[in-house]
Amino acid sequence: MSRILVVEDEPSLRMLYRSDLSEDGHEVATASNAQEALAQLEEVRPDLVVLDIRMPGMDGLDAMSRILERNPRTAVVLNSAFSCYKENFLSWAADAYVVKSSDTTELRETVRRVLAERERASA
Amino acid sequence: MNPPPTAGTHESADAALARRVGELRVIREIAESLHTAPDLAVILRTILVGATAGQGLRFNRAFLVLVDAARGELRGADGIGPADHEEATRVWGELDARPRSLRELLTDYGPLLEGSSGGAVRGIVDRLRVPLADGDAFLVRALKGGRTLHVRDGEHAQLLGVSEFAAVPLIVEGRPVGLLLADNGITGRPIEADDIFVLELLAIHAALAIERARTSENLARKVAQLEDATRELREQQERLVRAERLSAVGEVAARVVHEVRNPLVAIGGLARSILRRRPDGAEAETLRTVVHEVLRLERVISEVLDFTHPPVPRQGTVALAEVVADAAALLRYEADKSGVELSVEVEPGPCEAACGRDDLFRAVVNLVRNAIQAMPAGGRVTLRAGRHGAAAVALAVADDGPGMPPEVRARVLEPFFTTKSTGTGLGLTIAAQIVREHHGDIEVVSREGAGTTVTLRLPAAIDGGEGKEVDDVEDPGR
Repeated sequence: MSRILVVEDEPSLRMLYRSDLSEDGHEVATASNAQEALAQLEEVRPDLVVLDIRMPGMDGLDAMSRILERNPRTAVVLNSAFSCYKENFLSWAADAYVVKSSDTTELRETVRRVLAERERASA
Repeated sequence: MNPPPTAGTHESADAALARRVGELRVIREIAESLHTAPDLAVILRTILVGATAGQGLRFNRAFLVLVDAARGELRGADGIGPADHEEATRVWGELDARPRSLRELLTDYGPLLEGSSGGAVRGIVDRLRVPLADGDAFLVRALKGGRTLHVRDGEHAQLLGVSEFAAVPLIVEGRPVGLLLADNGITGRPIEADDIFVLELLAIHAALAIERARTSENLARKVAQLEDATRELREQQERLVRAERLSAVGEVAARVVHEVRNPLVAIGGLARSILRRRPDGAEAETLRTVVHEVLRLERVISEVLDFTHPPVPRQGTVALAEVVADAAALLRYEADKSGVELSVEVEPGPCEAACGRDDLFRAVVNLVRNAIQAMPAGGRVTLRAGRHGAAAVALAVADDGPGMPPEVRARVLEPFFTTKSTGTGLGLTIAAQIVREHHGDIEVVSREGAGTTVTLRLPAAIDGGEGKEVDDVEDPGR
């Protein structure tokens, strides 16, 4: 079972991601902003972090670099409302970029794929 | 056309006077016709018919040679007259059958000659071509000297294939218009001093009429050009307004999308979760409708985004000077309002980037708008464009505003990063993204208190190619 940390400032979306990713058999923790996420890193020790990019306070990109500083082996999936910056954000060392959609299939499959790749790489 | 008086015949004083009065009447009639002639072609015809009219000047044939300033030469413009004795006899016979006014002659004479003479006279007209620069050509000399020539030597008279002809320069206020040539090649009647005098009288009216027609044709052409230019200007203005509206829509859309998309995703996503768990539940149909409608809204949002920010870079080439001028024109009002002086410096010579015009325009507008907004108390913004090495071009937007501290400078290209209370913080990001999509780069140089310069560098447009393939996007499946 993989541990996933969802960082998202919208409570309703936290609820959605927790529900859907748990359904897929992951252990899901949530944080409502980047500081909270950083504070939970030691306790949760996530294999993968789902990061919203635009959040009040520290944004997702800053949060990503802090998380990777702590543990470079953490997988990161960026999740944003903006499709047009996909290419730019990918160059920021994220493993994947998913455009927010009510259909969470893409997010869930991306999470599954990235985790599987990590596992293969470390095996 | 009247039976030619044989040489040495002595006209009585009364007869001579009557003839002179007749000639003057014809001249007056020609002058009146010339005044009402609708265009140059009719004016030329009127002059030629006048010069060969039966009751008047009585030359057998006449030709007009006009100055063609554009080509720098004298060119035959029109000619009239029968081809030979046989045709002359036939045509003049028909014309003499009943007296005609000049106006009637104008309509009747041409068709009578159409048959055979077209060739002979037309051939001479087409051959009449002399470079104006040829100072030795006797027609050019006559025109420049303003002197009538009575050509009687065989060599020169050969120009019209006759033994003698008269050439009268057409001059208006010192400007050479052309020459009126006339001969009696059919009957061989000698050209007398009186004939030349009347021809000169006709030439005065002819020159004025031709000059007037040409001036009005020129004027009509200039008016048409002006109308074209005005229309082009108006179209350009409309394009600018459209582009401006689009960029405003883009800013609003970017904000709305973020505010609306998250709640939508939650509504639709949660409905899907319930459906997945209880696909046959009592409210399944209702939930499916919720899912469906949310999807529809999400699609609308995506379309708005695609519309305001086409995800595919537009290829093409664009002149930097044009983009810079358009951007300056669009933002002139905004700049004025903020007390910002907008100036443009474009390196002379061709300077084109391998980049879609609209893409680069959007990038530049974003940069200039940022620069203006950085100086609420006014200042100066300079747009510079020029070549950058052999294979690239550069476009810089420089302001002399407050500049940025290093920590701000380090983040200006990040999306949504803004120090302003208004705006989405996407302006520079969009510019950077556009330039990168076109294989260029962006550089931001800023010193606190000394202003900021943003420079875009793009591959120069090359004939037949537009740089390397699009391959900068990292594999999303990584």
